[in-house]
Amino acid sequence: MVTLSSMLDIVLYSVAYAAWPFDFLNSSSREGSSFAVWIIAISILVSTIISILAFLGIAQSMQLRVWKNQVESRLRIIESYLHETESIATNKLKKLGVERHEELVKRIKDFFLISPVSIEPIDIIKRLEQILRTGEKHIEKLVSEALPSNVGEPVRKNLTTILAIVNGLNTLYKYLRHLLLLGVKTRNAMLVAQVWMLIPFYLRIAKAYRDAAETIAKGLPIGDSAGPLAAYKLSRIAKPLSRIEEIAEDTVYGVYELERRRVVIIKAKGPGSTVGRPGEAVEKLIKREDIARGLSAIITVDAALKFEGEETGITAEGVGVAMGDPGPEKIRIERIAARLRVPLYAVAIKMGLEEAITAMSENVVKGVEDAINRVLNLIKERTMPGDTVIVIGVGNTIGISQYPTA
Amino acid sequence: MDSWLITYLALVLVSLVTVIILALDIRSMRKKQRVKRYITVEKCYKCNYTRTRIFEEGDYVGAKGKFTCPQCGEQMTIDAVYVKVEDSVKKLLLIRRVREPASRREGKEQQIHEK
Repeated sequence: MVTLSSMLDIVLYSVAYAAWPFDFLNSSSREGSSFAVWIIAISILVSTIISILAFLGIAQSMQLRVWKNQVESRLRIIESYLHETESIATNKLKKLGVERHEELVKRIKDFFLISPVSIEPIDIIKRLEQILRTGEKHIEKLVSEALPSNVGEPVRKNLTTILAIVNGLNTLYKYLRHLLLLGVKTRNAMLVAQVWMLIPFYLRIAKAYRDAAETIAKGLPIGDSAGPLAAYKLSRIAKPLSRIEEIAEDTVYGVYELERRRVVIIKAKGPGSTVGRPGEAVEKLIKREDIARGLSAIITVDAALKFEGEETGITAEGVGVAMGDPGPEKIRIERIAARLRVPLYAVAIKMGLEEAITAMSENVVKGVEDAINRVLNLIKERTMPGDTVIVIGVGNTIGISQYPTA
Repeated sequence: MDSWLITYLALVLVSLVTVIILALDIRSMRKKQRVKRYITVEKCYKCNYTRTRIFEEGDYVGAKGKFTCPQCGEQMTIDAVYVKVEDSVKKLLLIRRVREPASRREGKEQQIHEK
């Protein structure tokens, strides 16, 4: 009641205030002042009406409308990114002579993976791995079947990645649209508010995806290729003891001599876009007696997300496996290290999310040089001459080959 | 002071603030309009001589370079490919020339040439 009476007071005051120029300001010399007072009176009246409407819940629906419009405008941007990425994939397919290119893009665009049952944790890694590999192979097979036989492996791999980006962008766009429409349909302002608050982050991710498609179409190394680049550069300064061999699918290794230690360098097979299977590669290498016997350290080099405020390309070292995979590859290395009691060292090259999936910057290249120095120091400080060290360049190897060539 | 004048001044102030905000917004948008240059670094692993050039489709790290080493005649290898984000050429030519004294600019150009 107090609120209602105070509101009534405000209305009465504002009406009286609005009527004031009629009563007291009739002289021609104060015409300007009358106009100003009218403006003030009307604005007070409008704000009073809005305040009353706020108590009736109309303000919330107005706010919902504002959020909805803002989310819609950003969704349109994400949709345009999706169309641009689709056209990059379609043009590339057309250029390579694929006739049913639109059908292929449409098929991969809506492809999905169902995560394994997690309430039963036993063998979840194996089940997850099975699902992920089936997905990978299925998309690769679809692309390979559509492409003419004369198309090289790197181009095929890059195209598969571009189509995976189309799939990712499509899922992101559809999910955000779903949340918005559901919120509007059920008049759930909180749901729309959450989408409104998070959409700037998703917009950044979507833009990075769009840029990534452009970069991959050109075959340029991306920020995530920092690990494979470090592996390549390290192999160039070491003395090769063997030729490069493919040990697991899309994963190669070479044995080198460095600082009087035997260094086994593992990386994904370039220059096509692939992350390889480093975990499986280590697992297979460990079965070799000569490598397992003298193994004294496993060092992983990978691109890592920086904190806001940190400079791109700075490096840091730590322990554990520096790897951003969903689990199956990382756990293999951790299990081997635990079984053989081998220390795990990690070197991270820091960059932002956008930088990780778009063209490699000059700072990251400098960071790679720094990471190599850190790896050399770790080898010198933590192992003895004659020991064996495994160094893994983790990440997507697009635009980066291996040395010496297979 | 006359109220009419106060209203007029208030309107002028509001318009000024709007213009300043818009100008700052346009300036920040212009800052984002930068040119991306894709650079290929070729290296001679025998004498560590490096040379940069504009990226061409098909370049990848580990591939044979376009040049031979001017010091030892060895075939150069692509050692890195990266993106360099720079101001547009127009901005580089006009704004930097106005801001930087000619002597300093010449010094910089000489350094780049030596590299």
